[in-house]
Amino acid sequence: MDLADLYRDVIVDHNRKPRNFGRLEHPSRAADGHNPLCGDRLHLELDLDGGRIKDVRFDGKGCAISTASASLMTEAIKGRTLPEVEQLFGTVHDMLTRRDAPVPPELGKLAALSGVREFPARVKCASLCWHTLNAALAGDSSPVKTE
Amino acid sequence: MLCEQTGAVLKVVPIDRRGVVDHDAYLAMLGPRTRLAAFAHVSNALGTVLPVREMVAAARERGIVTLIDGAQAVPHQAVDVRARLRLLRVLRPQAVRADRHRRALRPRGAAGGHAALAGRRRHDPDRVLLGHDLQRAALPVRGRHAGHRRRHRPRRRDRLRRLARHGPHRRLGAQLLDYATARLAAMPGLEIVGTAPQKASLVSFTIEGVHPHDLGTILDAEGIAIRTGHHCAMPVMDFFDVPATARASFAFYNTREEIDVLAAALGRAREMLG
Repeated sequence: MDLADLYRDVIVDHNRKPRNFGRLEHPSRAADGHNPLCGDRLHLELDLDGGRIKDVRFDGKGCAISTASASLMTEAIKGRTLPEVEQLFGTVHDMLTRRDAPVPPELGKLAALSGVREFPARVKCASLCWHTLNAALAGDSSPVKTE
Repeated sequence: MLCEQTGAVLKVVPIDRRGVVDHDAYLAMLGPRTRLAAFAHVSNALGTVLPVREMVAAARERGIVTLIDGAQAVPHQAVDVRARLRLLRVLRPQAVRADRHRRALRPRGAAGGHAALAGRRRHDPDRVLLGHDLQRAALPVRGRHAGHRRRHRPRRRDRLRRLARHGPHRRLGAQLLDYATARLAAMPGLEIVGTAPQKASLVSFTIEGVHPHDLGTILDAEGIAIRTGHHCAMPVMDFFDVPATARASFAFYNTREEIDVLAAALGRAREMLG
């Protein structure tokens, strides 16, 4: 367990300067995520154009891992089609939870989160935004909880 | 949840910016319809020590039942059972308050407990119970061998009593608290949450730009154990407008050097993420 593996430069950078942080003017979908044990809160808004994510914003309060993960996620899903996003969810989920799984190169910057799986207590910090995304895409308006 | 089920109304006694309970407001809130006054002896989130003796007395005068959560108080200070409080004094939080209090709530292993405690009370109303005593207390009281008890229990009890009343741990805890408070308060970007004059030996704090959970992970990697999060005290977190805090607790087994190590690690965490 090496700290430098968890707090990589990309993560520190996205925590300090989260991308796509804020609100959309006319979101077509929105969802809230809450991690009740640690208190992290996340609000996610999507602008869907047909089957594609045209724009995305998030805001909320959380630790470096959850903020960076949400920031990286918004960058990764912007412009993608829904089936692509669904596939990405699966890949990220595997990366976060399966310690032996290789990190696929197509993850790009998201691969920076692979260190999280060495810190089981922090996996939920990283996955909160993805579960919130799923809820937003499913049109589920009740807040997502990681517990 | 209880309010929903029973129609009871929950009223919360306000605190000030130091985390001190507003005693006048508390007194004003004890009305004819008040059924229960519940409070923690020591706030787990802030460290505030509440004047439970006065608070219980005020409730009793009005015939109101009190409930005290003593889990945080018991390990760190002598809890005076005789002073109208009737809790108990022990060094371990798993230990249970018992004796003359009307009803003692037990944190674990409930079966047989009350019978055992009732039996206890006859012999020694101020008995101190340890967690491992309670395992035995869970056996039928009459079935226990009297000689066995005489041989072991009083000695342990006396030792604990001595320690709780006169032991060095309270003084050491206070010294460590003073040192840690001064040391941490001097750190840039660090804000101590909870500055009551009567405090248990803990410091709850935030560091600008570093979420407490990240602090917890970083400190853990350096072998330092702190508690991070909302401490199940979300209204308190809202009051201080923080999502969570980091909390370092000190006891007689800690040293000043360890507080220096903590401060150095906090500095590095801030450099890393802040």
